[in-house]
Amino acid sequence: MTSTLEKKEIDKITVIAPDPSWESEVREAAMRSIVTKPGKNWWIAVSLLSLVVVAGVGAWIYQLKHGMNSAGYNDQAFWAVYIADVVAFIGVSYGGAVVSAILRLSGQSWRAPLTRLSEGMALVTVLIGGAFIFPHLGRPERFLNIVAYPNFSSPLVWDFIAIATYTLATAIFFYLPLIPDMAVAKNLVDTGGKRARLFSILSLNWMGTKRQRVLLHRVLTIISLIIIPLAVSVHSVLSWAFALTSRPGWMESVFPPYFVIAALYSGTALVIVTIYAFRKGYKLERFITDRHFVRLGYMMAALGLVYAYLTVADMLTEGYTGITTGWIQQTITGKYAIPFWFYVIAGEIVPIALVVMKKTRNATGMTVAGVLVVISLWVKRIVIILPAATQPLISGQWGSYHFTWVSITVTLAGVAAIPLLLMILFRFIPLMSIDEMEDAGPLGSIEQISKETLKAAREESIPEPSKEESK
Amino acid sequence: MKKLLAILLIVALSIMGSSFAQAAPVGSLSVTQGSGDSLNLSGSCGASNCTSATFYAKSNQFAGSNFMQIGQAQVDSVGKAQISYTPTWTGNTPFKVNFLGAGGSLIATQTLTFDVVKDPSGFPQSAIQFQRPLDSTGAIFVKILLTIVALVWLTLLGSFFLVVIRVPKLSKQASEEK
Repeated sequence: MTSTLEKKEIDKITVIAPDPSWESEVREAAMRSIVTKPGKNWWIAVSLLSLVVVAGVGAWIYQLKHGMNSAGYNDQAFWAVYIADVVAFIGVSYGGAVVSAILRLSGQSWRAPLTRLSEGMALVTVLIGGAFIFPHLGRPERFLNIVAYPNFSSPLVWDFIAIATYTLATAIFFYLPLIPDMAVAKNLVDTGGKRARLFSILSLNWMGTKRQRVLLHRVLTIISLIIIPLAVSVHSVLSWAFALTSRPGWMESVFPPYFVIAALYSGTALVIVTIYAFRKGYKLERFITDRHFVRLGYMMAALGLVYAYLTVADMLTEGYTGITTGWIQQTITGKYAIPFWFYVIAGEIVPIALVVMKKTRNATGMTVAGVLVVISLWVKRIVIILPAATQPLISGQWGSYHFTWVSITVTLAGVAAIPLLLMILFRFIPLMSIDEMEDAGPLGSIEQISKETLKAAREESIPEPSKEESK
Repeated sequence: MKKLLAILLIVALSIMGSSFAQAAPVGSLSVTQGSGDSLNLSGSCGASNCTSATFYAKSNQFAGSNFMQIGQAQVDSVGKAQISYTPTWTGNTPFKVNFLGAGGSLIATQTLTFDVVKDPSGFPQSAIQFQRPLDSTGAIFVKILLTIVALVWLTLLGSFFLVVIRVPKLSKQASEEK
């Protein structure tokens, strides 16, 4: 028999919002992007962003016609801006997914208004980051060779496997929590309309029964548990694409955690920027408060300190030996000194100061810090890649990479594609997780489902499916 | 008739324009074998207003049939600029230099073809052979990794389809119970 206490806990699985006005407020706010017609500013923003994306596609076509040199590449700078884009975009995706997964697993109720936006951001950026592999390849049709003739000795094959697996996990992680919201959304849009039909299909006829909730909770816990090591593996494998070469500056054992922390750092920063933009655009201040930004800001600052530590560890270890220090000299005082010190100031000192100072510890301060981190971490990737890539191993002459309008336009297209895809995505998807918000209540007092509750639900309250049902 | 005359005038002016352009100073370029595998590329501008020189080589490795930038140098007081460059291929290679003025305007250009005979050999074959884990214990490692990947995919897709299949059934069951 289930004890009274356990029964109460089971009831918490289907917490109905205690305050009906809260429920209606949440639904109205979350559905704002779907129900209201887009305004003039939305159309202007979408048009401008689309133009940048189209220009980027045009620049890529030009590059296909004229060769990689049109993007600044040459035989002495064979890896440059596009691989930095791949690392940076997939990195921010990782941050979005892991932030959401960690908060979900640790039962942080304050996550409720943030998860949808961070999971959406994770999905969009991994798709864009993955797409940057094609301009990086130069001959995109050769991409098929990685599938047809995989060389398992190459980290690039494992990169492909890891990114594909992570993309699948991110897509599932985005869709599953959406199911209860789709059931709500289908009743809030025009009945019989296209969107109602779409929402109806995506909702899987969700009714919000206890058994459905336990099932969804259990599956989401599994996916959350998988997505964290998966994201770690993606960025570790990405780092091994560098670290397994015999290039000074890349062949570093610290690279996997270095890349993972950079991804988390920049990802948390982009989560802050994303939620700030949507909060402002759809007036969600009632739900996404300064408290959310400050908590994310603390996470970001902690990750920033770890990243600074790893940067010093990387340079000190190799620099102290004095054997292959050309890239360090180039980075600190040479050709790449300006971007490196830009990272130190704009990517570490200023953001951490903004978090530490009470005066700036608010939504605007954290967003400024987030923007600085996102930009400077992209610059940092360039600083990691170029000195080592252009370092001479045979000739003694440093190579040089020069930015061209092609590489700049293609990169800007990727940057523009993030807000563009998010704006379009959230025309069809609620901005916040209605189900989680309603469970959390106005004070964010969502209860964690204990192991005992799940056990009780599995053993007694929820019978195993019958044979007919299984069929 | 007037239209025809106008067209002829435009054509004549274009030809004159292009011939004036050709009359611009023509820089010089020389390529010599340097120490080791490197080449010395040296150019002279032939005009007093050159500030920098950009050197190019034609290689189908990175630029298709186009010139690939291989280096830049400042023009000295006597109008000369030079760089050292080590190509990663052999054979007849066209090189080009563009002399630029203030603001990046093209002042002079010159091309020549040089037969590259020395090619850095890169890593020894033994090192490449050594980096093949599939020939040794790495083969087991690869199989383990592929098994883990397969398990992750199975878990992800299994979880997804479990929800997709079970949720509608549970709804149906709940409706029937009511």
